[in-house]
Amino acid sequence: MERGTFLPALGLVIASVAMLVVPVWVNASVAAPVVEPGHRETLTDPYGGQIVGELDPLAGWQVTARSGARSLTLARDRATVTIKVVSNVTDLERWFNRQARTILLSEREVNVCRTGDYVTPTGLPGLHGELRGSRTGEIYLVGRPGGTAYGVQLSGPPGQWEHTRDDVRQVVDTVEVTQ
Amino acid sequence: MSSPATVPSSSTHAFWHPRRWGLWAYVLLIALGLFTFGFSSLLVPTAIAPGAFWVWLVPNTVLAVVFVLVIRALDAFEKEPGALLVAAFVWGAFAATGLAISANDALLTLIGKVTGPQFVTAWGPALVGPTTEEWLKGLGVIAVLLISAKHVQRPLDGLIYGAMCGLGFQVVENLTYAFNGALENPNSDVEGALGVTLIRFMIGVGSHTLYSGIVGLGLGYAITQTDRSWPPPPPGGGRAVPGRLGCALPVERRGDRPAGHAWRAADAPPQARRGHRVLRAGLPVRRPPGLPVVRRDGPGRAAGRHHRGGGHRTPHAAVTP
Repeated sequence: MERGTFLPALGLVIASVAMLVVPVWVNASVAAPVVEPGHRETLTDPYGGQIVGELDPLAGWQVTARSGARSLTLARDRATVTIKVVSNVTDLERWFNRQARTILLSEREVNVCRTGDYVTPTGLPGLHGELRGSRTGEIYLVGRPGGTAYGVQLSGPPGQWEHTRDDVRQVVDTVEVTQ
Repeated sequence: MSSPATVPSSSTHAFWHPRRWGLWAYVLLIALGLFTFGFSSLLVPTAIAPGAFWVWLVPNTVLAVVFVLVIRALDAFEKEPGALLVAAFVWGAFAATGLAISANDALLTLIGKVTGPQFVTAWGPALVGPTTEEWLKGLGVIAVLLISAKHVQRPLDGLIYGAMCGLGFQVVENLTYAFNGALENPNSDVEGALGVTLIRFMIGVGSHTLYSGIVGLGLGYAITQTDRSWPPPPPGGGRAVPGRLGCALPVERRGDRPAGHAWRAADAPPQARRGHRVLRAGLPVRRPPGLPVVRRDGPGRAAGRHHRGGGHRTPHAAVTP
């Protein structure tokens, strides 16, 4: 090998891999904010849909990720709750099937099975499904066709999320579609 | 058009230097980028949402062809080797994207933790993108330099390689956006991918190409400039001080060097190498065509210092034309 080319090449590798490691490490070392009692969260879709969620039942969970203003992920232990807003849903059933495909893409050993319809106390129609596989859980997709809809997904290893099922359902029931 | 000092541009010899560690570092990082990114973000979505792939393919092929033609036309006097241009493109497409994706997620989450949802929504991408993506695309230019620095003779060459890194990044980033748009859309893959693709073509169609071109221009300047007036030498002199990026070594004529050959730190005399940490690390320095060769007349370096404030200028000291 050519003399003097090793160190700069090593520097290139280190500078590149640092970008793979350092931000993740720094992020992991900073504690995520915790949902406080009475916390309300507004989520907005780029195409105009907006919801306001009452997260009081999930007080104590940590806000671990956001995807813009569109979705929010909370976590406690190894269980997660994801809330997202979507505009212009023409057919809830189609959205359910597409959502199941997306979950399959991110978690290859998880299948989503539709278990039935769901109607919130305010009369919003929706669908309910279950996640089965290496992670289990529930998914709710709620909204009127042609308008703004929202989805709430609770999942985790078996045995780690079931006790929060009622809390999550309470969140689903109290979400307001504001736009 | 060519001149006696023009480096031959064709052939894969420009890229294939298996005796240089830089080539293997490049290969390793491309493989790492593909491993972290290629399967989960490219192959699987292509299989699941082929409509998004086709929506991406047609306009981005046109984009890539047009930009490659423009980039290649920038330098009217010397065409960069195709193999190195492809190498820069591939770096941007796979290494930079693959390594940036987890960093972007982590930094956006970090900013959200520290500042709150409103700030991260408004400013997160503007802060994270340059931090991770420009860094990684800039490293692509350095990777090309480590593979074959003799083809970076002027700042413009750095701009060309940087632009190719940015173009590769842009094209593959557009694909990920198309996939995300398709998967997030509640109604149709094509609708989601088309909406996102149109938006990305309307705002910032050449943004990455431009940004990385500027980064490459700066790196090209740092590598090729010969002005060693900054930082100033320490009082008393007698010790070589690195120029910008340590790249302005006193260049001495070596009888066995053909015209236009790359000059390396190892070519410099020992006293000139002292203190040149970057150069000792092997970043090559090339004497630009037409630049007079400095002859070191004494132990100090004043005799070899070039004109203050200029790039490729005639030095004060004794020169041989």
